[in-house]
Amino acid sequence: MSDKIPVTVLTGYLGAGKTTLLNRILSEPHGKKFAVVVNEFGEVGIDNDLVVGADEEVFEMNNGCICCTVRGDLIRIIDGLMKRKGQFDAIIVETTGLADPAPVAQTFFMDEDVSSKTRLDAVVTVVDAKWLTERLKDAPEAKNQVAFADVIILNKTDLVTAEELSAVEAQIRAINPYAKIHRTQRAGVDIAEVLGRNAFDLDRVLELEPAFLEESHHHHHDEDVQSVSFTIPGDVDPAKFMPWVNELVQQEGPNILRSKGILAFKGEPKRFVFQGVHMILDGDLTQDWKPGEKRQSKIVFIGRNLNREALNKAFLACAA
Amino acid sequence: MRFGLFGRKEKRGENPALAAIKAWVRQIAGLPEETVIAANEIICADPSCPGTETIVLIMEPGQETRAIKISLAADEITRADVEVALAAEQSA
Repeated sequence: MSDKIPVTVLTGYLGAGKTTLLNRILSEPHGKKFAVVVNEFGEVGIDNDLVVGADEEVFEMNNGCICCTVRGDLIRIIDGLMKRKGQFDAIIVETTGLADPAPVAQTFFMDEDVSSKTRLDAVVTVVDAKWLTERLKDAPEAKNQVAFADVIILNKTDLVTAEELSAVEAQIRAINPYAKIHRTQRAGVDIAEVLGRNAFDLDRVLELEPAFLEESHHHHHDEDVQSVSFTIPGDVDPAKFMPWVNELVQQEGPNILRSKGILAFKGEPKRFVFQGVHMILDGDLTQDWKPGEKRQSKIVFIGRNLNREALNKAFLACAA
Repeated sequence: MRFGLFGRKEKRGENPALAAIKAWVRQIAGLPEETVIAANEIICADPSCPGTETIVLIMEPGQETRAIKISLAADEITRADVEVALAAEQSA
């Protein structure tokens, strides 16, 4: 494991319970010190020596191209925090309820200084069990935050019936079937389930998602943001797949929030794993396919208005 | 945008060209240590973006972030290019 400082991004719509979770993380006796970047000082104070305030400054490096959009405030704050290296073990970035997680995540891939000193650990989204359904109708930010999450804290479960809770969880699953969901009251979750997830570490994709290569259930829904997954029951040809996925994220990147894939390349004993944020992709050969294990190739996109049939046809054409 | 596409960033190491550009910007513009300077080479395949360019963000405390853009790869940029870009940004 590298000595880069892990950064957890804490998102959630207004009033969902971000600050409650943050205070829980800070107050539990885990022996770790956190630097906390907050964008809104809520009614609940945050008791920590290393709280840094920030004004969310989304900066378009290029001509409005979504992939080149970063959070200037994070670059600035992380630069400052690194001068205090040794005083904390990890960084938690709390966003405003209206923040888009993508520029936050992209900052960790785009900026040389930030990516050389820190690593994005996971995007954790807190949602309100009672109000999420309404927010998904009227707040695109809430939808993006669910779509983007690696971990979802489904909070305030005491305010809804069991049936309502199942319904809201199904809505979350329709948008993002791969995030780990924790049902909580007052954001009561084991901190180990929130921090140290290594969700952006290619070597951990399988570990985190043992069900990734299993057949997923098809979720019926009418959300414009949804996940689509496609499987080839065997090898793919990298000479076909690489140009295709490059062109796909180049053209459809603004609509693709997150992407992941585990692929069996013809003649390659190791799995090829990739993950991406909008148009930024990161991939590498990781673990070997185990002896006797079925070699198969699966890709997943979470995004807006994705053409399931066209994507499936194009991916199937990459078969070896 | 193809930055880091299927190439893990850790393997690339630090780019000395970017460090030099940041030092030139600080020196030429007379910026104090408190000003954070971020320099990145962007290779964007989006049709609305100009391909390879190097973007320097200048973050002065209490002020909005400014950016200078040079349409060259980082290792092609000279001190003279930085002078021209800074002058253009200041006159804009």
